[in-house]
Amino acid sequence: MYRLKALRRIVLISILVVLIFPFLVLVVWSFSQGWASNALLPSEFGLRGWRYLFSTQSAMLSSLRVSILISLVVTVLGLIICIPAGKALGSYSFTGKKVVEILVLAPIIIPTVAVGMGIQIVFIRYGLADTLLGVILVHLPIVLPYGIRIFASIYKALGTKWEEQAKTLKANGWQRFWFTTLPFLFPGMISAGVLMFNVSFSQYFLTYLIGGGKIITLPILLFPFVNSGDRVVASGLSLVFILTSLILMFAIEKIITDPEQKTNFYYL
Amino acid sequence: MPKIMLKNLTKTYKEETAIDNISMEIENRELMALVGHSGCGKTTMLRLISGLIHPDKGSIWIDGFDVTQTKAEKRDVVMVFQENLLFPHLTVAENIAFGLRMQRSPRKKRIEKTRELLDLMQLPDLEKRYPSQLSGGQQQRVALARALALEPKVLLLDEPLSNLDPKLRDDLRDLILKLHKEFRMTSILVTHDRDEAMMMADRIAVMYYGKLLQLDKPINIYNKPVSREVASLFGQCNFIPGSLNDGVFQTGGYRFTVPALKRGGRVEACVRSEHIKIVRPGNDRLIGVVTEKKFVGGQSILKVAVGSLIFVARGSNYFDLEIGNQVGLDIDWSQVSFNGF
Amino acid sequence: MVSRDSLKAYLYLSPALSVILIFFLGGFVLAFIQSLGYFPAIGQENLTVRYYGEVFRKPEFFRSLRYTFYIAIVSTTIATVIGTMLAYYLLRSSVKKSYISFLYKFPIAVPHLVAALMIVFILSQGGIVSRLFLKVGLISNTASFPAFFYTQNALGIILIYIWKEIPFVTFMVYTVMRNIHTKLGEAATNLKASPGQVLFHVILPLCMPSIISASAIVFAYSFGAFEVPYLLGATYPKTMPVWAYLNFISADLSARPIAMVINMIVSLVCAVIIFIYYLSTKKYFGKWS
Repeated sequence: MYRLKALRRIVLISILVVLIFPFLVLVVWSFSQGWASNALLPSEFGLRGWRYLFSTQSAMLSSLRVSILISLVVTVLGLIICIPAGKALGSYSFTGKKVVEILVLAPIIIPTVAVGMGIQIVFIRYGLADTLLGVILVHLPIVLPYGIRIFASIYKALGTKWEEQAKTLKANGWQRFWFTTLPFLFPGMISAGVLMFNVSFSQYFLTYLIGGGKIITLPILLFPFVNSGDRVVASGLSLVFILTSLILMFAIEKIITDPEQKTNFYYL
Repeated sequence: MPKIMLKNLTKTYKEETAIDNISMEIENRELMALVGHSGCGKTTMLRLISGLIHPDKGSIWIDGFDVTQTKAEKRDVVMVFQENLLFPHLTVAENIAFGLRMQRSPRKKRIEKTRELLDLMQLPDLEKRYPSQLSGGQQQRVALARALALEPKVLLLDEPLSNLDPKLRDDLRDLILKLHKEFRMTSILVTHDRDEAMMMADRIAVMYYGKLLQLDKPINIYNKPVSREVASLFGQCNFIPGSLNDGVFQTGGYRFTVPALKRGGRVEACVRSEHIKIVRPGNDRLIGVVTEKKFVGGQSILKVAVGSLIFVARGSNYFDLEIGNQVGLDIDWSQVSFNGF
Repeated sequence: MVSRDSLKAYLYLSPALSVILIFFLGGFVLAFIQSLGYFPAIGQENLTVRYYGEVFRKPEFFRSLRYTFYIAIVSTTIATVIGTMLAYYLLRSSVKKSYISFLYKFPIAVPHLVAALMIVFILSQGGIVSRLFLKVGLISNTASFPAFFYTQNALGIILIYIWKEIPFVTFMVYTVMRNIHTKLGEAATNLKASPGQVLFHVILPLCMPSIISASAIVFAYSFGAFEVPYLLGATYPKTMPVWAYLNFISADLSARPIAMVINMIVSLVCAVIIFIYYLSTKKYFGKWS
């Protein structure tokens, strides 16, 4: 009994260390101002790094804006596309369904490097290269599988009973969607939305290849710092990156598990 | 010595008391039924006895040993769940032999036992099938076989028949009784079907919101319910308030001679539908008017209004009576039970 | 006669399918055509398979393929095993459940580049652990600290991958595991199974499909990843996606079809692996549901 408890303790502590230590490192670096190359801790702390990041020289704020813009557009478009697709896969059986199911998973199976390199030449030809639109269009297919999967399972679990009930109560298509389906989709929209935002937000290769270096998102900005460069700035940038993602994750966790929110959906 | 003793058991979930200080004894080789409305705590009781959950207060004794802290896998108690919970990834034979395998019983014994039980349950050719390929009735029998393979001293059954159609229910009910006797087990059956409880149990425990209302033989539960809740659980009951003194029951201007009882003062009589006979109106009888008539499976159910009281009577010869008829009620007071207020 | 349901379904699917077909599979098909030598910009319009032959004959090919496989297999195996163990641990630990079960999902939200950065800061020769060893006297200068990056053993890359992939596997497996544990796990306990027996005989077999699909996704990612191996991989060999990219941006335009051939091979490997994974789940599905 004792040994089991001790083992559990060790596991718990190692998990916490592995999760939290890297962030501590970033935090310490981002606030350091003088750090000898062999010293264990910085000799001086300060906001030099942060001030630089927030100035226009670093391009952090502009790339953050671009990143959020692209990812938000991709997410919203993604949701609009995934909900009907999920409905098709979750509520209907039709010829070719198996094939469609595999097609929809293609972006998870086939690596983006192949697709990016293949499509670049066409994008250049049609003037989509180096544009925001181009980047949005390549981000879109890779986020869809996540959303479709979530909505397909929601629709499947939902079944047709609510729709049928609403039909007998004389509700038309839109009304049925709005009042009987949407409330159930809401939690799915949030988790799918966050997943899709995350995938788009973290995307490097496609943004770089299609954006051509003209569209600068946070990953593009961060890329060179992994190998070399000012670690103070790199840490600050990473923290901004993480913080933005974190805020979103926390938001969903709150909304989905908030009991009051949940019951409200069913009162609609 | 009773087989199972429960002493002052209490179990609370969040803020609600699921089991409120219940004590009871279950005799060896007895078949006890736990009855009550949904949420009264019957399933919780089973889970406590099986060891899947532990009580907040009180103790559980089996065969004279305090097993309160013993884990489920170590207690000689096996439960059959309401949703049968057969392992979908194992064949019927593997499901049945599961418990024996967990106890590292030798292969030969497992095969023998499985075969025995399959025959007993009349499922001989289904060894290699998977649960998803069986009908509801077959699944329940496999679940039973799985439990019996361990030859438990105590068998717990959580509404085993509620998901089956009536015909299957009858067959399985007889089977359970037969197995209970053959295997000499002590069994506790949870059910919300009162007829089932009456038919099968040696004694019935009536539960109500976590409390034990009455524990007695079926006939006594029926004829001498200790409270309105118990009475209304079993059969149709007409409750008549009045006062009882020295063998005379007074209510609404009428006086009736009843067998002398110890209780006196204000009481409530529980008159069962079968104890009322509808007859011609006469002098010393309650006189009323028929207000409703229904026909159910060979019997007529009539509502008769006597002043402000409504009586519900049942019988097979009331077919000719119509709404509005004046009738008399002949009550067999020797069968009526009285409860104090 | 196409049924009304089919029409409706395809109508609902049309936005998703068009996006995927045009902007994703379209790119894939273009890569395929280009791998067959189609390159109008330099006047090549005939299709040929000679570039495939060229690639197979290159000495780098086999080494790159092996290196990529090595990284993918090692990181997938570790992530799957530890990820599943972590899911089981979460299942059985009651006290700290609320905050740990929220915290562990953390790395999933962190982009690979950031994860890479963090681990470089910790494990590189100028990193924290190295400085700690220096201070404590285990090494005399930071250059003697073992190299995790730019190495043949790809340890750094693997660690970066598993830092993210373990929580991912846990996430995908945990819900299923919990559902099974609650009902069927109880049934097994009631039938005298010890916790270890419940895990082995009931939980693991029934969780296998989820574990396998999580593992497949992780493998496909590790095999086809670009950013991390590009920045932190060995000088030679490069992983396949990195090798493809270097050919792609090469000034020598005849390297372009070579890049596409490598892309095709990478895609083929991923597709085949996923297919194998899919086949192995079939054994679990047929009779059970």
